[in-house]
Amino acid sequence: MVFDQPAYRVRLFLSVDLTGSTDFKAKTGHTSLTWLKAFQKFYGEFPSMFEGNYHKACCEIPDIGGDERDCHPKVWKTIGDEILFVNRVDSITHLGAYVSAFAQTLKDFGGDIYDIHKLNTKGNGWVAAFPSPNCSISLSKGTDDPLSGSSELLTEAFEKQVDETPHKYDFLGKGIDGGFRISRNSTIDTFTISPALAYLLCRAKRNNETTMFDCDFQFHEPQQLKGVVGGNYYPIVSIDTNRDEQQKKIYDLQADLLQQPASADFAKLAEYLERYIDYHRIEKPALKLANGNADVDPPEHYQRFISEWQAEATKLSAAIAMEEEASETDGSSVKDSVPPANLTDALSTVHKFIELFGKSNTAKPHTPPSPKD
Amino acid sequence: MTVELMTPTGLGASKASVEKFAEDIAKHVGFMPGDSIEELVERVGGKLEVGSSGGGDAESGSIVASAVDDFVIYVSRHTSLKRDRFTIAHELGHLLLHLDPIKKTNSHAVMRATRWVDENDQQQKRAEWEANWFAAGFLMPSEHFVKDYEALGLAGVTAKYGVSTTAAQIRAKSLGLAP
Repeated sequence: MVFDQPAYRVRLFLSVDLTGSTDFKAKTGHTSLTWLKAFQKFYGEFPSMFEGNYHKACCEIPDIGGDERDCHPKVWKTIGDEILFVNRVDSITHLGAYVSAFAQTLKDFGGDIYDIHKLNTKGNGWVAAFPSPNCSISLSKGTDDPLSGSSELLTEAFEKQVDETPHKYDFLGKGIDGGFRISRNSTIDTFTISPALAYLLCRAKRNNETTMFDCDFQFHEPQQLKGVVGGNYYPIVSIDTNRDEQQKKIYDLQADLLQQPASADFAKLAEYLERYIDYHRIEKPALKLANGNADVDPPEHYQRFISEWQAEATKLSAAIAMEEEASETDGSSVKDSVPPANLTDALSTVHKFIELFGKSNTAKPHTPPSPKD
Repeated sequence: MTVELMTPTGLGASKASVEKFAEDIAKHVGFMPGDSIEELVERVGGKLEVGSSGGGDAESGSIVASAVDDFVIYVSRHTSLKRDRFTIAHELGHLLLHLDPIKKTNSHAVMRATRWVDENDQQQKRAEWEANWFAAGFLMPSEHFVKDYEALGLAGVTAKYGVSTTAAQIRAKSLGLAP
């Protein structure tokens, strides 16, 4: 039996919250069902608007790959006033297209729903690598395994199914936990992004002629987040999603008067983030710049993971081959009787085994019979 | 004192007798199809570890046993739960079939079995066969399995017995239920 090795992959997670919806329900819920229409619009229109913006963004990127262009944002799950998307990304250009389109959708949809219901949107995003150090998991249905599906070992086929139908799976790992934690800092104007995502997007911006990525970054006061990098101060980075041009102009002038930059210098930010990530040994996903570039080497943690996986695949293949071989013979080339003479050698161990089981099993009504029975 | 690690060698028992032996033990301890084998290991004093048994190797799917109530079974982080069940049953087969003869040779010896054996070593290979027969009989007792396979089919027995499709297929073939 041959097992198909799971490839290194990076997935982008994006979440959008409908802000003000709880208050909106509380204020209007007892007299009208307008809030229901607001959610209907959010669930009904945000994903398709994001998809439309993604395809528009791709049209403006000559270097985006055909497969990348044919993708579409996939919903991972919805939780009340939040929709989460997840997509495998093949290059920094691909990543930039999703993020630009998402930021644009936060503005477009936010503007629409504000005009109608005085609600708005805020976003959060992060990246995580699979199958190591994070992993994909599903509820076990029928004979499938949560971590490997229909196979006895995690395979590429399983991870491809996750890529195709992420709504059937969940994702576990530090990369996911950290991603959720930073969302508390997101606001209508600040689409928060994890340090690793910010680092990759700084590279996208530095290579703007290829990626066409041109969002502005804001760097905020680092914060301590529970369970993230051992309680050390964590960089808070966001993409500017201010949708009010007049207000944005005021903020820019205000920043100028305070002698503060309106947006972070992306070259300095990239250097800072790289040093921070390396120092704290945070996962730094490896992605090539664009579809046409040569593949980059996966990180060391994946190399370790996959060499262990390969050893396991070899052993498992050999074990299954031996199980088949054993089942095809009756092994009767030697003397045998009932109870077999050659098995009596093992009987004292067996008696002890049954005795041990019986002792630990006294709380149960069933009493194992004596081996003499 | 240096502990001698000894590899199990085959008893030379037939498939039929090992399978019956395994089925009898399952009956004695009240182990029913699909029951938790992990719990059984814990009850008799064994331990399950995920990962390597150490010693500079990566011998997942192996057992290190000093006594019937003092053993560790290693399973891989990469394998399915159903594969792990077969692996654990296989290692229990080594424990119950092959530890005693080792102890009779050297009462201080520790048995160490791995799923990776030298194909040319007939004694080790025989021990692997016996452990496989034990696992099949213990997890998929023939009488129940035949009835259930006919009633539920391959997918049904896979779910009921908590075994992989491959393990169920091999068992079905061995019992003459499938070509």
